[in-house]
Amino acid sequence: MSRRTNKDRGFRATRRELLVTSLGLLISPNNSEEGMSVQRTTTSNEKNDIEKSIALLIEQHHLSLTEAQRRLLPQQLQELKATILALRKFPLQDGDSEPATLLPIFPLGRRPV
Amino acid sequence: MSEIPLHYLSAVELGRLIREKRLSSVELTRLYLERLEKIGRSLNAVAELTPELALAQARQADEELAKGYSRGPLHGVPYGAKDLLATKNIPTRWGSPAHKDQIFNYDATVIRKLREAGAVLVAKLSMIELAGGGGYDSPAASLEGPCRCPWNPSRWAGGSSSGSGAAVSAGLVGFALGTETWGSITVPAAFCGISGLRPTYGRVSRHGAMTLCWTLDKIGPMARSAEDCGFILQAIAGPDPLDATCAPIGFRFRAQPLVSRRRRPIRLGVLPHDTSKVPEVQKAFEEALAVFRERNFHIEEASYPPDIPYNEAASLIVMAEGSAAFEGLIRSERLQLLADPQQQAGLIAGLSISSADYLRAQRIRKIAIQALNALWARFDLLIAPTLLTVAPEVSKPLSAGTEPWGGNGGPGNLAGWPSLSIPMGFGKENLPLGLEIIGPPGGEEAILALGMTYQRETDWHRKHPSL
Repeated sequence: MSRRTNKDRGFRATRRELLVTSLGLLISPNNSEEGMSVQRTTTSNEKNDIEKSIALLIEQHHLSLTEAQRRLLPQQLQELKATILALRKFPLQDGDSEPATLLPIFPLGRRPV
Repeated sequence: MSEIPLHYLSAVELGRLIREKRLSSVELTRLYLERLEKIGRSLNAVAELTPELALAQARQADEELAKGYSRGPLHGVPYGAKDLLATKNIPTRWGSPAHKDQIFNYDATVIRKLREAGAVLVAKLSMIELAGGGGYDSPAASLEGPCRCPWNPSRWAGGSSSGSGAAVSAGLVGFALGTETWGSITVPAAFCGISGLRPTYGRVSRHGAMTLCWTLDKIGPMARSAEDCGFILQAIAGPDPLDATCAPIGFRFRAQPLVSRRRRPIRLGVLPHDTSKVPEVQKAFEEALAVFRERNFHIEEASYPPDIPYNEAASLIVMAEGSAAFEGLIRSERLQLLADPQQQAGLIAGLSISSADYLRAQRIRKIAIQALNALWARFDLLIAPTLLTVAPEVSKPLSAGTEPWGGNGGPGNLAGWPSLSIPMGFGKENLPLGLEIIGPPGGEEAILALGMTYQRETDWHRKHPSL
């Protein structure tokens, strides 16, 4: 069969996507051409935003972070932000589209209410 | 069959030998307990052995069969369960150092159902801590240490159902149970060269299973053939008042290969996969396609509906639900006990997700499901290489890999589709490759039947490591 690029799949991978691809498994950008394309430097504004997010997390959840957690958290939050931004770009209409929380996946079952 | 060592026979074959009194369940149980102790421990595949329970269940099976009472194809067959499934009075540690003393006083529904089917629980099998929901970078992110691939112990067995994959591959159990949120059955199945079935969301009760992600978690069989997977699914599927998401229907496995007729062929859609850097994967996949072409299957390229952020939606849902499921742990100092600091940081980060963003992902998911299910108007089944890589080195961080991973986990899991990964040959360093067959919701019979067609024409699933 012909070979395709990730673009042909109809979705673009973010690094966060690659982080959890198949298993919640951490996969570096180097594992993917797409991943490499989304690597970028963090601006000082973004750094400030991340620091604010960490402060808020600590305050809201009464967290006491270890050194390792504190060191790894900015990258995690940055990737999460990229994922959220990608989702926010998807057009949804206000007041429309019920979330898929009550999953009507199984076509055969008469799911009990 | 005679050249295959007893411990590598399929569950169906083992069950037949036991029913025909050519092998006792006690004898087979002792063999597997010995192998689990000797080989399983060295692979880090074992979380807990259950010799007393196993031998009692095996004796009961032999006694019942001696009286002419058969509980079906799994009667007397020893199995292992991922340590994510509750087992009464036997430690259930979820692969997590933070839960190393955890014991439940009840059985998960799937454990009860397998007991009723006469199967013999010989071991709890190792797993990535908390099924890897925080995102992990180390194959050693497990209470039991890095689970090794039986084909080459310097390689990783995959995750998060690591021990289940390794134990089936190494002939340490007749079959195993795994679970998948996003790739946790299909990935270790591919790395270990076995058959692994991710059932449709809602097909199997999750009562007694650790929750990682309420709207994505599934429990499924890992075995040495597609046929085995079908009979195991038959035993564990069905309604359960203790799990409201479980569909109120059973699964009756017909165990027949899929036949495609020239006049009205079965349509297989080939999902996109970039094999430009892994020609050996493309070669193996082309050979698999040739098997289907020769048997009148119609093969055509397929693609996911464009412009929908499938993987981002799935990723956010896993993070939000996973962090919510472990909020107590995250807020406690016990979080530090997890083996992989990436997991710790990922779980903390998940707490920052707003309800609006979580629900946005679920709203997009609903649209994604509708778009994805439209593919079933054009195709009966979808196929692709399970992954583009073979098992990575166990001693290195997963992020150190340079090969593309590939995989179809995002859209398929988001839509709740069933999927089967079966052995497709060998890639780099003679390590196993997987062929993934994906079906519509409730389409397990068809994907298992196609798997059986392939396994009747090839012998990849009969290959086993020298252990």
